[in-house]
Formats: sequence, C-alpha cells, structure tokens
Amino acid sequence: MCLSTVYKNSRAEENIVLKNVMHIECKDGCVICTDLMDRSVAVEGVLESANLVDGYVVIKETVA
Amino acid sequence: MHDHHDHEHTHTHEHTHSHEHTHDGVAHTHEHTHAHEHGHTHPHEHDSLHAHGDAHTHSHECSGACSSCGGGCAHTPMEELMALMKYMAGHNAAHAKELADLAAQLDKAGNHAAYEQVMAAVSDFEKGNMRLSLVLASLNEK
Repeated sequence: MCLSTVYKNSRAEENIVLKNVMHIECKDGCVICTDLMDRSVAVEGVLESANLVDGYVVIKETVA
Repeated sequence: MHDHHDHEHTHTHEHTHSHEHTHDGVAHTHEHTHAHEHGHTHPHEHDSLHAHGDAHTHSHECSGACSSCGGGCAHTPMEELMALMKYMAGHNAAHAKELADLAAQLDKAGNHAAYEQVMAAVSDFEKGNMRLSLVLASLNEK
C-alpha cells in the first residue's frame, strides 16, 4: 500500500514521471499514473517493472 | 531518432495541443512517428488524445512555484503536504497493525520474548504516529 515513484525507461532522477503515485492503469497502449492529489500522467508505453518494496515503477516508453 | 533531410514538408498531428519541435533545424518529408515531451498543463481526455501515433508523456509535475505556474492546480503546496501527511498517518497505522500481527505469530510460535519486543516496537511506532496525527490536527486548525 506504499506510494511509488514512477520513472520512464530507467530509474534516474531526470526520468521521474510522477511521485506519490497511488494508482496505475494500463489502457490503450498507455500507462496512466495518478498521484495522491489526483493528478494524472499518461505515458505511451508498457509497464516494465514495479518494485513494491522500494516503491518505484519503471515504464518503458513506446517509441516507433 | 530522425535522419537529417534537406527538403521541406508539411505534416499534421491529430492532437489537441501545440508544440515546437525541431529536428536539428532541418525539415524533412516522410511519414514518421516521433517522441516529444512537453511540460505544460492542460485538461485532457486520454481516449481522445492518444489517437495518434506519437509516443509522448504528459507531465503534470508540480514544482511548488505557484506564482509563476499557469497550471491552475486545485490545491496549494500546503494542501499537498497535508494530504501526504494524512496518508502517512494512515499508512503507518496499517503498518503498525501488520507488525502486531507478526508479533502474534511469534507468540503463537512459542517465542514470547520476541512477541513482547515486537509489541514494544509497535507501541513506539504508534507513539510516533500519534505525534504525527497531532501535528496534522494542529495544521488543520490553521
């Protein structure tokens, strides 16, 4: 039940998409993340990994 | 990434926002998809916005600089801080319960000394959480 930080492509500070993420939904080729304040960020890509112990998620961007 | 080209073209993107994008200052003509990022804030419907082939990220990260931000957020940094603290208080209470459950399992396994130690830790945990709740209540009054 911990909040997570979502990164795109790799776990680097400059790749942070959203912090304090409480909900993630994969829909229509997008990973939609929602934080504690109900802000949403949509990233076109796929969920690559989620570490629920350390509280981070990595999204692999889809780039044609 | 795109190769360099020396001829002009026009192309259309089926998305509701506008943005600048340069490809090393060189125009080119061919159908392509490209990745771009933009940090502005705008209302959007995901179903309609992602009908095109571009890969992109909509970033709505809050810098906390409200006076210079046109994002029009419905909350202030303090409200966000309060929401986070409220979440943490609930979160800690849930973890305290999980620890108490672990302690009970230790007791059931016959290790009463370990049970007592873990329950002492639960008590300390709850004291800390109580302090957090008091701060939260105090901030709520202001």
